[in-house]
Amino acid sequence: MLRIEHLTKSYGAKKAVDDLSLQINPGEICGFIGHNGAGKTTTIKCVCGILQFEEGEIYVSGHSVKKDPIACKRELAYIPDNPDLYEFLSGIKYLNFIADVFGIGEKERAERIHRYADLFELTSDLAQPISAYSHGMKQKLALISALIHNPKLIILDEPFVGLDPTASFKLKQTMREMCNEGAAIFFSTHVLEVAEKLCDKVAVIKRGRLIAFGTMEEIKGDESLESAFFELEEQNG
Amino acid sequence: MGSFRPVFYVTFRSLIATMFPRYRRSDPQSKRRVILYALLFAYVFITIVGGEAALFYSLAKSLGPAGYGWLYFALVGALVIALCIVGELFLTHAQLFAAKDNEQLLSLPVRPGVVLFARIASLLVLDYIFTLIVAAPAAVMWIAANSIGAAGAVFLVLAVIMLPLPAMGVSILIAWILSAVFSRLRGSNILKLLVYLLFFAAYFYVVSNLNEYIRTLISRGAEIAEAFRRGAFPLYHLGLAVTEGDAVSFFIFAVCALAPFVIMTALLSSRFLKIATTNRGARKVAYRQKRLKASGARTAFVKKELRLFFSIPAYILNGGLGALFSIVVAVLLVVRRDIVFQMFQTSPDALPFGAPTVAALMLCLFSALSLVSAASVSIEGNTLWIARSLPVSTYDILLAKVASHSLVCGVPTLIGAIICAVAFGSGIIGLLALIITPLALVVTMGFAGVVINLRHPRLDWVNPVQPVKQGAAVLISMLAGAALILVPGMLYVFLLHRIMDVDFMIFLTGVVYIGISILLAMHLKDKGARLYEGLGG
Repeated sequence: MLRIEHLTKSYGAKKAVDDLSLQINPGEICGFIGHNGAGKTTTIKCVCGILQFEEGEIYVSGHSVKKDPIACKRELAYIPDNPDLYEFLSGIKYLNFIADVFGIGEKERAERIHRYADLFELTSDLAQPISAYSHGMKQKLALISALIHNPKLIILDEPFVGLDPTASFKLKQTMREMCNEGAAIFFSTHVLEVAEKLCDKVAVIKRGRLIAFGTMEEIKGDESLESAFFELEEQNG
Repeated sequence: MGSFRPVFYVTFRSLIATMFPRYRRSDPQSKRRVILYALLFAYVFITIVGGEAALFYSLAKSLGPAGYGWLYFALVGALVIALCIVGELFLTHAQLFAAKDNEQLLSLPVRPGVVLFARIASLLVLDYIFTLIVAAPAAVMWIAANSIGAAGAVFLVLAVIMLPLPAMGVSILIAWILSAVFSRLRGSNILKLLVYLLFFAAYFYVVSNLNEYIRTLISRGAEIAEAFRRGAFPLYHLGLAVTEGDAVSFFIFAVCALAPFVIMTALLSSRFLKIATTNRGARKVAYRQKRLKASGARTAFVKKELRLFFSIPAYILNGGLGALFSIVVAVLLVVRRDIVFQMFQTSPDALPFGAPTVAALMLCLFSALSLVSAASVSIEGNTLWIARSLPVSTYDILLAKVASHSLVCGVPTLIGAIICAVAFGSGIIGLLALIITPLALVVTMGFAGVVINLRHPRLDWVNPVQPVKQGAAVLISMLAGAALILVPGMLYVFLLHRIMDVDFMIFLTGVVYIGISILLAMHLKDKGARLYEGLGG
C-alpha cells in the first residue's frame, strides 16, 4: 500500500530525512516514532505530496508520488499534527467541500458525514463556523474529513493530541476496523503505550535516518516498546 | 513599571506587526522590500505634509491678521482629534476588545490593568505620530506667517501632548459599542464592512470638498468662529491659550481633554478582565440536516475562494473596492455626472471625448484596482496543506483563485458597463471598448495577482488583514495595474492619437489584455504551479 524507497529530503544543507525506506501492506497499522525534529513530519508530508523531495521514490497503491501525485492523493487521507482548517467555513460546509473534491455522491456523503459525526459526537456542532471550534473539535472534524472518502491509506501526524478519552478510544477502534477492511495506516506518535497496543509494525527514526523498522515483536522482543526505543536510541548514539 | 515595560514592548510589537511588513535582517529581498516601503512612505509623507503646509499657511495668513488666531489652533485641534479617531478606531477595537493574546498575557504574573494600559500606551504612540503629522506643519506655518509668545509656545507643546487623549477616550467608547454589536450579530462581517465604508465615504467626501471648506472658512470666518466658540468651547479655549498665552483657558482645555480619557479608561479598567476573558461569540447555530449539494472539484475550490473573500471585511474593501466603485460611478455617471467630474477635479468640457469613452476609461481605472487575487495565495497561510493534500491539480487550484477574482470584480464591472452602454449608447467599437476592455483587464489583474503573489508570498501572518493590506504582492499588483493603464494611455497621447480613434485604442488595449492573460495563464500552468508546490518547504 505504501512503499518508501531511499527517501531523502533536505532543508538547505541539513538533511531532514536521509535515505529512508519502509513498506506498509494493506491491513497493517504502522507507528512512526522518534524525538522532536527527528524527521517524522517531513517524511509524512513527503508521502502526502505536500513537500517535494530530492531523492528516492514513494509509491501509494503502486502510484508514484512524484509522477502521479493526484492518483496517490485520491488513495490517501492526511491529518496534520495541528489541524488548521478553513475557519471561514462551517463544519458541514468544510466536509461538503472535501466530499466535492473527492467526487462523493450526495447520498453517500450525507451517510458517511453523519455516521462519523455521530461517532465523534460532533453532529450538533456541524453548523458552527470552524473558527468557533476548540482544538479537539477541529481534530475531530479533520478526522471525519479524512474518513469520508474511504481512503486506502491513512496518514496521521500525532492524531491523539487534543482528543478527549472517548474520541481517542473511538479513533483507535475506527483505525482497527479500517485496517480489517484492507486499509493501511501510518501514524506518528510520542505515546509509546498507544503505539505498542495498536501497531502491527513500528518505524523508529533518529536524525532523519530510520534506525529500526519491523513488526512490533521484532522491534521490542520481550521488553516494552519504551525500553526498546531507548535502547535503540542509545545504540545509534 | 517593572512589568509594564515588557508587556508594552510585546503589545507595541504586535500592533506594529499588523501595520507594517515584517523585516528579516538576513533576507536581501526583505531589505529591498523595506527600502521600497520606506520610499513609498517618504513620498506619501512629503505629499501629505506639503499639502498641509500650504493649506495651513493660507489659513494662518488670513486668520491671524483678522484676529481669529484662536480659530486657527481650534481647527488644528479638531483636525488632530478627528485624524486620531479615524486612524485608530479599528485598531482600538482590535487591540482592546478583540485581541487574541489577552489570555496569554493574563496568564503571566501581571495585573490586568498593566495589560490594558500597555495596550492603550501602544495606541497612544501611534496617536502622537498622527498628532505630529498635523500639528508640526501647523505650528511652523503659524510662526512663519505670524508670531507666538513664550507662554503660548509652552501651551502649544502641552496641548500637543494632551490632544490624543480625548481622541483615545472617544475611540474607546465607539470601539466598545462596535464590539458589543459585532459580537452578538451573525452577519457582523457585513456590518463591519458597512462601518468601514461609512468612514471611507466620509473621509473621501471631506477630502474632495476640502478646498470648498477653506474658502467658506475664509469668507465666513466670523460666523464659523462664533459657532466654534459656542459648540466646541474646549477647542476655543485651546486657541486662546496658544495665541494669547491665557493660563485659565489652558486649564479649561486641559480639564476637558483629560475628562473623556480618564472616564473611559477608568470604566474600561474596571471591566477589562471580563472583556478579555469572556467569550461573547455569536449564538450557537443549531445544525439541521439538509441536502448536501454536490459539485465538481473545480467549482468547490471557486466556492471556497469566494467564501474566504466574503468572510474578511478588510479583504472585501481592499481587494474589491474597484468593483464596488464600478457600479457606484456607473450609476453616478448616468444620474449625476457632475459629482464624478468633481471627484476627479475636472469638468465634462475639459475632456476631448464623449460620455461612453469616459465611462470606459473609468471602468478600466477601477478594474486596475481589483486586487482580490493578489493576496489569494498568502491568505491560505497555515491552511495551505489542505489544498496541497487533496487530489486536484495545482493549476486548477490557482485557476480557482483567478476565477473567483474574475467573478467578484468582473460581475460589478459588467453591470457598470451595461448601465453605461444602455444610458449613453455607442457605436460598435465604443461598445466593445466599454464592455470588453474593462472585463479583460479584470481577468488580466486576476492572473497577474496570482503570479505576483506566488513570487511574493507571506504565509506566516497572525491576522488575515496583514497579507491583504501589507503584502508586497498587493503593492506590486497595484503598480502593475497602474502600468497596465498608463502605458497604453501614454502611447495613445504621445504617439497613436494621430492614427486612431480613442475608442478603437481602448478596444485594442482590451485585445492586448486578453493576450497578456493567455501568456500569464501559460506561466501559471508551468512555473506558477511549481512555485506553489514549493511553498512552505
